[in-house]
Amino acid sequence: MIGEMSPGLILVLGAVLVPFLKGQARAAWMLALPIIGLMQLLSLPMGDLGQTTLAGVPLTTMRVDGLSWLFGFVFLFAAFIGILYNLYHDDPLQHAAGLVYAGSAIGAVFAGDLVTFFLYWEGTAIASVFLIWASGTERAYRAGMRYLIIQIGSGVILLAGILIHHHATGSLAFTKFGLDAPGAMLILLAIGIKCAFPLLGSWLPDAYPQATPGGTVLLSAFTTKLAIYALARAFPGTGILIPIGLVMAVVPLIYAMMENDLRRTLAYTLNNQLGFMVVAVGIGTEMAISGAAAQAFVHVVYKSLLFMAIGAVLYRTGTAEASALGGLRATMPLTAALCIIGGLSIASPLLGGFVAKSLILSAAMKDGYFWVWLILLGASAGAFVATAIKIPYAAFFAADSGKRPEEAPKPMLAAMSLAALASLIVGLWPSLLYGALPFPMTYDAYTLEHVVTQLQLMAFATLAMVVMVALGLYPFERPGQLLGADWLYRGLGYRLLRWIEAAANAAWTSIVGGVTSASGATVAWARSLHGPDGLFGRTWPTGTMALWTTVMLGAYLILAFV
Amino acid sequence: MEAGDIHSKSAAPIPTDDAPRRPVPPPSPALKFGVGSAVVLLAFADLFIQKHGSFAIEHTPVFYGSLAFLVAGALIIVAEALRHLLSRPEDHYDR
Amino acid sequence: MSALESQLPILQVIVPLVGAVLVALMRGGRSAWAVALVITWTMPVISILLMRKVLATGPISYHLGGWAPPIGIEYRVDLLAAFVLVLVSVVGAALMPFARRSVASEIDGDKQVWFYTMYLLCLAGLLGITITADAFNLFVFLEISSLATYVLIALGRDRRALLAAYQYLIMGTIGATFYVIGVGLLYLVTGSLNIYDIASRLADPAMQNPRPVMAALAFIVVGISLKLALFPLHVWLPGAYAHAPSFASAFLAGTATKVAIYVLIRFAFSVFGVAISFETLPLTEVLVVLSLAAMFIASIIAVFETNLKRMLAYSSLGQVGYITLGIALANTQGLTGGIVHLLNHALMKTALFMALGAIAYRLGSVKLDAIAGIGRRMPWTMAVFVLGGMALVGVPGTAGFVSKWYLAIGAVEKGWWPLVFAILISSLIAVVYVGRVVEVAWFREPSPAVEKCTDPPLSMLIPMLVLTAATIYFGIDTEASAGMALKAAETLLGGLK
Repeated sequence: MIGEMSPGLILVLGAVLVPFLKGQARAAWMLALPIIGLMQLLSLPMGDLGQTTLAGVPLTTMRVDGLSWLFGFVFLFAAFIGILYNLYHDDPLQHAAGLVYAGSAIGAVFAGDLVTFFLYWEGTAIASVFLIWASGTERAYRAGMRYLIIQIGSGVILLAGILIHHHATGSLAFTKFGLDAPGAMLILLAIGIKCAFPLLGSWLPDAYPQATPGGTVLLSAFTTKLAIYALARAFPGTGILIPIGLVMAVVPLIYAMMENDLRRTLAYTLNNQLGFMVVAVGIGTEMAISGAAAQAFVHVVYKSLLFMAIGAVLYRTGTAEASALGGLRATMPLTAALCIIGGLSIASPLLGGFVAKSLILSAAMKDGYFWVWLILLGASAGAFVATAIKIPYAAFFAADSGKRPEEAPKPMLAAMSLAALASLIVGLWPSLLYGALPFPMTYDAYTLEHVVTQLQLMAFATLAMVVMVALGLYPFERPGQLLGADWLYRGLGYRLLRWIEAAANAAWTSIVGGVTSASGATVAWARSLHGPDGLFGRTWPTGTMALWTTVMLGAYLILAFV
Repeated sequence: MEAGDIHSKSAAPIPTDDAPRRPVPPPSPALKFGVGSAVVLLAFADLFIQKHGSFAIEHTPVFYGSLAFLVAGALIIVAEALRHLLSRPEDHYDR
Repeated sequence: MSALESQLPILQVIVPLVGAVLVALMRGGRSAWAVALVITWTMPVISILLMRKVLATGPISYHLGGWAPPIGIEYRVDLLAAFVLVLVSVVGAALMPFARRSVASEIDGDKQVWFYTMYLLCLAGLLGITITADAFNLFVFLEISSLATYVLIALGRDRRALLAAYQYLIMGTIGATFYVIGVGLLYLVTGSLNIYDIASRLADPAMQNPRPVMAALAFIVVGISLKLALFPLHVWLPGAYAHAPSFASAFLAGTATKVAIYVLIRFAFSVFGVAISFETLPLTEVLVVLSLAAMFIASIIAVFETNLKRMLAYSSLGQVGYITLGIALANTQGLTGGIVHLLNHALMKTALFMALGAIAYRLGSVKLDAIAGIGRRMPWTMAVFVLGGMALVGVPGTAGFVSKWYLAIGAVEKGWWPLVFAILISSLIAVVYVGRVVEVAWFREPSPAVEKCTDPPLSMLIPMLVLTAATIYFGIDTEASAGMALKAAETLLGGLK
């Protein structure tokens, strides 16, 4: 079917038709695309396919192996529910951007060489910013621009790494690198930015909450998980990832508890869950890599579900701030129930997260990483509080906001139900997932010991929450901006830039002023340089230009004769 | 990112709301009973199951429950304390 | 046919020259346009035939009036010249359907005839510069194209257009004077005006006194740098592009600076050779510094510019920086990047200026705050802008990426890692100035004036779409663009080692 074309490319090319279709036809076409993509994936054998050349560079556009198959599958699923969810609006631009974004992520997963990977990597960056800007607010514009710069920056660093790697080794294969491979540090840095490593990941809670309700759902599924895929592909067993992942698993949790905006809370807990996967990649054993892949799989499902539920709340009430919400279960019972399922999926037996996270914890235990295991265990209890309890509690319970919005629109409910169903299926029949892992395994998640200890974790965490509410210590969210690592560029960096700009302007003004008066030009003109406009941005008087021409000629001649 | 008129207008400043929130209903008796009995049951069950983990600490009775309780409680308290330190008005960076 | 075929080089220049006279005799704008259209559309036919011939049988030498060089004037078409001829003639031809309505809406009826006359003169001058192998003849064509350009700019509605044209006139004249002084010095030393003759005489080991040659090179490089708007000799350009009629901006952005760069390449590599240009005179160092300054400073100015035509003009300065950087690298990959960016940038920037022209046609303004929400009203036009902007950024899959790829590899081969980063990081600035336009155009509430806008008529839309499609095409299939540039670069570097 369609040769050996990447399923990602099917979505990207399919997006071209979207602006030309209307209503039901458009909806049908968009929903068909991920299904066609899935059929394509199922029809292809394992191996390096889609060999082609671009500008003389041999490319492998379609590599199907255990790892890429699993990520590709769940991305196609996420694309389907994301598209379904987004049918609540009728904006062809957002629909097309969403398809290109999802398609690029899928294409990147199946990329067998670094050039193809880079092409799709940049595609995700550019297409996704439209989902943020589509909100049409000044805040969304600024956050989107910061996001875009950082994402393209990641691409630029990746490209530099690829160039160095290619120059030194002559290879463009996208396989496992050691950290000491040429260019590998740059490639790791590029992935680290998209993976929201500590200090590199401020774009995530900055940008995701500014997107449209449906946009955030798509955003949450692809970019960061693509980065996890790339890590698992290129840097399995890289020790430095373990401490990095632990910091990611812990620090964002505290921010998640503090945060008032529920979508931003989810962004922080997303970051926390990425930490688990990064640790697993760092451990790098077969079981750990499988755990990372499994965790990424279920995480795409339940995080989408949560973002969808809060997106529905935002869509109906116009806000996602905890301080303005509460008591919505009265009129949005289905959304509330689906949101709770999404929250519980992070840990509860019978649902997805339970069967996946166990693999990572077991992998850490098996290799004797005591502290890693302990911290991750604590972090999973914390994540349960910040996700499974805080989100549904703040939106649907807590203090009644008096808001009585309508139930979520049908496409949203359908998409959420599908995600909930997927979580349930994985939870009930974990062997389906285990069998599809990069290193297929038989693992029994449902031992008595396992179930009891996990339920204990959940029950005691809930108990702590109930105690805190009873004592009046919770909830405490208020509107506000939390200082994070983005202060480095939004606060300090911005001030520094302004300072450099002013200093450079002053310096140029004095240099040019000096040269000019020395050559006898009018003083009045020199003074006019101090006007409000920057020196370079203005139209220079003709005399100055002539002067500069002479200066340059003089410089050349001096350089030539000295 | 002060670029051009259209991009330099910032939204109206939103003051920090440090006023107390709307009163939160206390946990309902049903919830208290449910969570309480679950906790007791699971703690009790813990004594009877066979644990296979390789770390000694895991074999401490009710290890998972106590860890979860401590972490969850600490998380809420730390977050509330840090919030005072790190929270700024919403338009903090736009000024 | 074969007789005609041997006359192709002169036809390339003489047809638009005669055409200009014909157009000047026309009565109204419409008939002037029709004649100009026919003339410009023959240009790509000739240039492509020339290109095919060069590819088949090697460089073509044509002796004007049968006088053999170095006494007579020689026209010479090698691969690089053919490449630039095709570029200029295709851009010039592709723009013509767009011209009719755009020019009619911006220029008063009685002046339209003059506008098209000047346009053909300018085209003839640019093609002549490219094709001639005679240094003084090149100066004549330079003046023809420049004088025509001054008029094209001055015909802009905006009164500031006059001032901009005047500034350009002064600067252009200085540039041309410098050039002619340089050529004079060369003539003193070598006794020849034929570029290839000069080159062979300079290569003679007896030429051991390079001082006047150095001076000649300095004069020529600075003079041409003015014409190609190399930072900091760029200051005439933003005003000229911003106030010229939309059609003239689009044409000049695509061709004029490109031909000037072609002259720089010709002199740096073919006349003086790598040894003199890049070893005796530190052309590499100077060009690298100035190119970097252009790439960063001009692009940053573009970020703060709210008049979109000026923004694109500053962006052009930055893009010229990439091309001169490729020249400065003076290795195969880098020079390939520079040459292919001649083409790629011409395509994308012409399409972008046409999109602005279409907006000016419908809305009357190209200010950033005036175009809020216009993306939904003029989706095709803004799609062209978005794709062109992505090419400026160097997004993979667009032609801009191909250029940067070769440049970056060129820098890698030199081992200049900071330069590799500079090339890559500078695209981030383009992200900002393109991104903010995209955001405003697509996601802001439209004003009542914008509400009434629709996409321009097909005659304006199709040329934009064609060039945009070419931008995408050359981002994917690089055989005709980069492949050709690579051969040209190899010839330029190989013949002189």
